Amino acid sequence: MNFAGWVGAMFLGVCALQPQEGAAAEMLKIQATISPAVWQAYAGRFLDPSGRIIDDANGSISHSEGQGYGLILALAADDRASFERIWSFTQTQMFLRSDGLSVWSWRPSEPHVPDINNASDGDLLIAYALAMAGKAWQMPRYTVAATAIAVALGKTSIVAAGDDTLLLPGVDGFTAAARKDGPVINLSYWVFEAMPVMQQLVPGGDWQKLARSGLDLLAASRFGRSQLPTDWISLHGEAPQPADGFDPDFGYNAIRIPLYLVRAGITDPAWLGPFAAAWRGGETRGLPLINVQTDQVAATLAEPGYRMLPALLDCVANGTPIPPDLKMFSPTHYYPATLYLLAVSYLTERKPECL
Amino acid sequence: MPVRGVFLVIGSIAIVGILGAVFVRQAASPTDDLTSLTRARASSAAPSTPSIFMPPTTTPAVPTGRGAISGSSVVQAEPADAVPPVVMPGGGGAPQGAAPATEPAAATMPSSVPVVPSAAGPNNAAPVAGGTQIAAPAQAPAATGPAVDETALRYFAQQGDVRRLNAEIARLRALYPDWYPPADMSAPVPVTDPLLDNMWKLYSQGQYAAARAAIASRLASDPNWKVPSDLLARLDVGEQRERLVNASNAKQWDTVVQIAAATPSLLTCADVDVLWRLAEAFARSDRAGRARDVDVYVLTNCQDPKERLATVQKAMAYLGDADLDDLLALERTGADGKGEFAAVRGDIARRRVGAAAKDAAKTASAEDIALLEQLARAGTKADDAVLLGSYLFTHNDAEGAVTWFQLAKTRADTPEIARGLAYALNALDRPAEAEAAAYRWRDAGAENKEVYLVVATALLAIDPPAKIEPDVMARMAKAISEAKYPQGAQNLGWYAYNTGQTVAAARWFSAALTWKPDTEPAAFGLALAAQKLGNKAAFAQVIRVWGPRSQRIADLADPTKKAGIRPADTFVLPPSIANPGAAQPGRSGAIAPAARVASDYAVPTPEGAFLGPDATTPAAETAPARTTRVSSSGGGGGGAGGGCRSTTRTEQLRGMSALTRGWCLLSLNRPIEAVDAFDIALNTNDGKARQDAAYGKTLANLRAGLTDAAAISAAAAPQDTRRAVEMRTEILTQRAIAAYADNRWTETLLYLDERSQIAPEQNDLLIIRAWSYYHLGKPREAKRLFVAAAGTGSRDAAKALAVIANSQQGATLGDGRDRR
Repeated sequence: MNFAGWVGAMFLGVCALQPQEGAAAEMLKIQATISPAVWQAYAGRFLDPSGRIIDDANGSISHSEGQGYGLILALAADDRASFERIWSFTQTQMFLRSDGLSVWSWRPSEPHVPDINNASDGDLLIAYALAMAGKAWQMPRYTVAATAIAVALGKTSIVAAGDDTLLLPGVDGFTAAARKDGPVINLSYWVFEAMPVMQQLVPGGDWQKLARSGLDLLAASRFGRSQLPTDWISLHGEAPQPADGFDPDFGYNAIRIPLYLVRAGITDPAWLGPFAAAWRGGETRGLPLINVQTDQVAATLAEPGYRMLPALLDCVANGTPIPPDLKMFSPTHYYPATLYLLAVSYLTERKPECL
Repeated sequence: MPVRGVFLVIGSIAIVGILGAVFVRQAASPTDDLTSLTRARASSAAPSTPSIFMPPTTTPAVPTGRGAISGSSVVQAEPADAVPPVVMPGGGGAPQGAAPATEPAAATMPSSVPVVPSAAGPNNAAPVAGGTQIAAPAQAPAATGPAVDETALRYFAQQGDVRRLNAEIARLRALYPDWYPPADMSAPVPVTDPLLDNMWKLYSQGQYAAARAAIASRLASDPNWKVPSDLLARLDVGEQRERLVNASNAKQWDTVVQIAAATPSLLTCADVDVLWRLAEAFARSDRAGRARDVDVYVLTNCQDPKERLATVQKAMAYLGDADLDDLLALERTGADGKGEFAAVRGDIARRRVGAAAKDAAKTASAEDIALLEQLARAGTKADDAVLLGSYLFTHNDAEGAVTWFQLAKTRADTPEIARGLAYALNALDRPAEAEAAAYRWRDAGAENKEVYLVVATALLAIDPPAKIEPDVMARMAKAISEAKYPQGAQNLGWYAYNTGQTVAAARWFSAALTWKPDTEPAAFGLALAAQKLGNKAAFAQVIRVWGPRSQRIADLADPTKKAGIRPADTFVLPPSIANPGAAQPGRSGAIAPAARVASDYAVPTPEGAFLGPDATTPAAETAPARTTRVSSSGGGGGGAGGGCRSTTRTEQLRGMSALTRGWCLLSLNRPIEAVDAFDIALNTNDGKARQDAAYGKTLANLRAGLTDAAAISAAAAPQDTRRAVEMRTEILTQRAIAAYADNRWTETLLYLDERSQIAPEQNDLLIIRAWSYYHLGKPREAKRLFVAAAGTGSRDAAKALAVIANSQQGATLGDGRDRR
């Protein structure tokens, strides 16, 4: 991207992150944006009575990301009981670290927690859901818990690197000290819509700076012909590069970036352009995962949940209605079903005309 | 993080403080909070819960908007609740005062507290507003039961005994200020709140997520419903407990401590598992003192015997001895006089003795040893005996170690026991037994291999050479050979050399040097063996390589020292030996591997073959022959002589055949075995035979260089004068030569002087005398003697004169000495 384009993106980025009051106008309500029947279809498959969200494509484990999404969707469905279940499980089974963050995974067989590292997007999603639910349902207990997590993230996972403020994907293993090509980041961990909320909970925190940095880094991470970021990015050198040891794909992780941008109210074509271009036709043909070094399609994801994402972008950019086949929710697996519902929740709240 | 660290310190101090306070309370009241709760909410009558365990509860404000009610109005709680009409005797409404049947300590149960307290009178028509506040009012006092026992009340009411009724009401009100008399003393069992019941049930089953979900559902449909705050509180505590257990399982010790500090109500005897996990978390995060404090709390306050014992057992894993003693001090003695921790004391003693067994600097206490001894004797396994044996061995009590290892051996046969026993026996200089003990397990591993080699080597090193059975010798040789153990090979070499098996000796010395090229004693032995075998080329080579590195090896080639080495070489065979019957001593030269010699001293070569015995050394024949002596015991060697190469074992011989065999062996230059044979022959009543045997034994001892033993055996039987003189002469000769070899010049001269009084001094001894003078700084006397000897044709004397002549040019007095 040329210099002018870069400056333009920066400007838009700054505009996108409005001060608190403006941000409040952008912030989603989330509550009651998913119908009971749809929620029941999701929860029936992916929510265990014990309160854990089951990732059925991943050995039926649970993880902090799934718990976070589960909490958000329960709020969206206005299902307080399910929210309680999910939070109870998360709190008792996964918030075991002494720094106040959650372990990243839990598995059904013993020992349930073989690896106590955290995943910061999961912690952020959980804190965000708790904060929103605390407001919506008047539950101070939730707000207190959200604040604690936000503080913990600030202490352990938000670091300065040069002019940037980074969200470490996990407390261990991603810094310059830990990896030759460190620091390594994952741009899909920047849940942009959550950051103003965190800033409100922890006014002294760096959430604003973090959000701005995320957009800067996104603007600087346009690789290959398709100008897309990869899932994992190294900031070791002058400019961001795909990180070592990972496929240099705009892949399963990064496909969430445009979803989060949209949900945070960042809908300008300058930001969404490359994604929309790469995904053109994807709602029918399938969502492409792209290797940015070879510019080849690494995989095409056909499940309806994935195909909803290009449809969402099309609606946001052009007002195109969602194709009829995507208006029926038939959950396939946890991840695409979750992305689907996050899209639907947004559309219900902001773009009901597309539905 | 420093903040977190400080928090943890404060937290742990807080926990200790709280435990201390709780101790005071708990001591007074054994039952506690969670126990009473999990017993179906039927609590004891007495308020036994220390309030420190109860989370602070607040009385929610109750909307009074429902209005005062008078008369027989009915209080409507919520549509979902079925609140019975509250009718007081005499009208008016009075609120149900019953708590939701959980806590006897009704003071902290706000859920049922009506806003408007009535004057304590049955006729009080206090307005009721409490129905809306909490679902609890629906609870009836009777069935599932609050703490208040209203049986008497109802009885008096039914009896119409108003006076007693009032008195009872007053009594109960005084005890339970938040209790109010039930509406209708004769009312049937009132309707309960099934939803709330269900929530309590889920809680008590540990299904916290489901309980929370149920509460949330209800709140969603009924926003005005107020959750009983103690239900919420208990859910909080229950979830924290679960979190603590999970953190403990995931080894997140700091989290465990944080949770315990934040939720002290978890720390009760009813939930000892939490306390155990807390102790472990402290211990594993380097706070052993705090861990000890928690365990001390448990032992001081908790009663269940199995849990108490388990506490000590767990503590053994992470507490040191001093802290563990603090716990043991809290042991209680049962009715049978036995301490409750008896089962564990044994383990503790084992641990302590085990640690001391590995570290010579540590000693175990006498009590621990005594306990372990008792357990070892009483038990059926070998482990405790092995532990004791190891401990004693490490602490220099090899005798004790042997005893215990032998006991262990009667119970089990393991490599470890074999090893311990072998080392202990070896330390007591009983290497033959040690070898036998170590043999079976020699292949069980590197350590067992090593002990076998060590004790085998020690057995071979005994001086004089020990009698070793052939199969034992063969197996030791095989093991040493396979392991390429240089020390063992060296000792085999010396053993062979000292029992006259010079070729085998040479081969073993050679092997030792192959495996460890820098071992000087083996080189020395090889030089000696080469010299003895007359292998001049090999001898010269050894001297060339090792002479610069070792003085004594260099000295072997040194003419000034030659005379003093190997007394056996200058020893004279008496005629009865030199020509014994038909005995044919083997000549040096071709040594054919003979049939395996069933001898107690035979040493196989490194390749495993048994050689024939050595030739008699040529040097032995340089000395002038003595007068022939014929043994009057007839036949001398007789027909049996030739058979002493491969015959039956020596012990099986008797009298004459033993004597014959002794002479035969001596002629084959196998003096050690000859000694044995003569020894047996000594056990005869035949005086003449005894004489011969004693004589033979003396000669054999002398041949073997065992001068002292020779002196003893010389006196074993009275000899005729000539033999006596002969033996005495030889003894003195040998002593003189030994002293000379040791550079004890004055002694040499003394012995030679004594000898010269009973026997003429031949040239060889004369030369020794001369050199002794020389080394004592008397060159003129030395020269005189050398001249005399040279005059009789002694080439050694001539050489000596030349050496002296050279050295005296510019030499000082001490020069000769320095030439050593």
